[in-house]
Amino acid sequence: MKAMFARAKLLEQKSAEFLNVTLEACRELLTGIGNYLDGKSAQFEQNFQNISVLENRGDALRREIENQLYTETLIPESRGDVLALLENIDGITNQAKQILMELSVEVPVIPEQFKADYLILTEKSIKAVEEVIASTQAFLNEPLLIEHSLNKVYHWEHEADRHSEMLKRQVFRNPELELSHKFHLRYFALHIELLADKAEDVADRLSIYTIKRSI
Amino acid sequence: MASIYEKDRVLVEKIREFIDLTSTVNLIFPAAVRNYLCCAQTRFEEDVERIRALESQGDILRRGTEVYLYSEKLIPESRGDVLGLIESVDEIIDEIKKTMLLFAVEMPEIPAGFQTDYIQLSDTGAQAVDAVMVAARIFFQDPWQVQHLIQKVYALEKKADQQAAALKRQIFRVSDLPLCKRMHLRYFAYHIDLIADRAEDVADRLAIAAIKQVKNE
Repeated sequence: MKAMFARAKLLEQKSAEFLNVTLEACRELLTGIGNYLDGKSAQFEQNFQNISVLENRGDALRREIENQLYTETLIPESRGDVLALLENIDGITNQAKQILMELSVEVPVIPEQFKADYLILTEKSIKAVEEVIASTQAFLNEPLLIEHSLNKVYHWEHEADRHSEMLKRQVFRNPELELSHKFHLRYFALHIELLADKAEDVADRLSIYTIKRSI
Repeated sequence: MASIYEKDRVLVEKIREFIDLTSTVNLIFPAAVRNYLCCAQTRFEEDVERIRALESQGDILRRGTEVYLYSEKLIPESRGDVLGLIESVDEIIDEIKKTMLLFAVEMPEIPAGFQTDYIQLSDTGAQAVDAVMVAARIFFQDPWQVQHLIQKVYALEKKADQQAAALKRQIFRVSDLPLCKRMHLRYFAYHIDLIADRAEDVADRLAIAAIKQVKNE
């Protein structure tokens, strides 16, 4: 199997940049959540600003790639797949920004005993994203390597699910918290976990596209 | 520049009817939000009923158009685009109906200090939908103009995002409401904001469909 954009250097560069934007957004998310939990408001707001810029850049790049795919009639047999893939990956970046935005807007009070779990949940979700980006890079450039990284996406998504469930169980079994506070804490666990779910959605698409390409 | 769809008058007429219906739902939506906030309960319930009836009518129209698309052998490479477009427009109607039903069912108490913000957010969402309906109409007549028209949709969607974020920030930072009430208010800001997101989804589809059509000419 040959690389997807073997004949379109500019498109290859833009796609690489687009995937990097998602990775950078995840790094910003991890630092941002760390800063939020440590009460470093100014640094956290900077993380939020940075991720907003990255999200806008991702949107612009996605539209540029989509336009180029269709205006230059590139890879006509798989451009619908690539289009859907880009939109799903863009959904990951949007979700990462959404989490920081919600923290910035809603300022949830996270009790000390849950802080480490929120950070671990974020790390596990981000690992799922990192692996799915590696899978996408493999899909576009080195299709033979894709299976290896796809398997890791499912592993980290499962890990994030388990950690989120454990955290939510602890939250709801804590007798000192008001029900509304429990809902609020659950909402943030759910949104961080969604990042891994979105990575899994991309992985599912990649699996199908890989089979299509091999036939 | 003429569109390839112009030859198929039946299809164009069916789509025009669907866009008209969506525009009507979109006209009722901000008025319904105002009626809810002004405690005009009867008028609000009438608005919800009208939206509900139009949504059902829209589903019938959408299915009829889809059957026509696939049974009447419209240019095969274009029917997927038209289908996707109709379905994404239908999502706008669904989102408006869902949001209005949420108001009717959950009856959130919106403090006077936030009412203008909810009205402005609804207005921006309705403007984004209106702008994308203009682009959708033009797509079937002159696809060359679509790229220019959808920029307005993107700008309005961003504006709605900013308004929603500012409103939610006020709810959580400025007000002294209990947490459960803050979350309830946030939920409604989120759903109204989603309407502009649905308009953006239609704009994205239009962009690609227009490029494909222009290339085919």
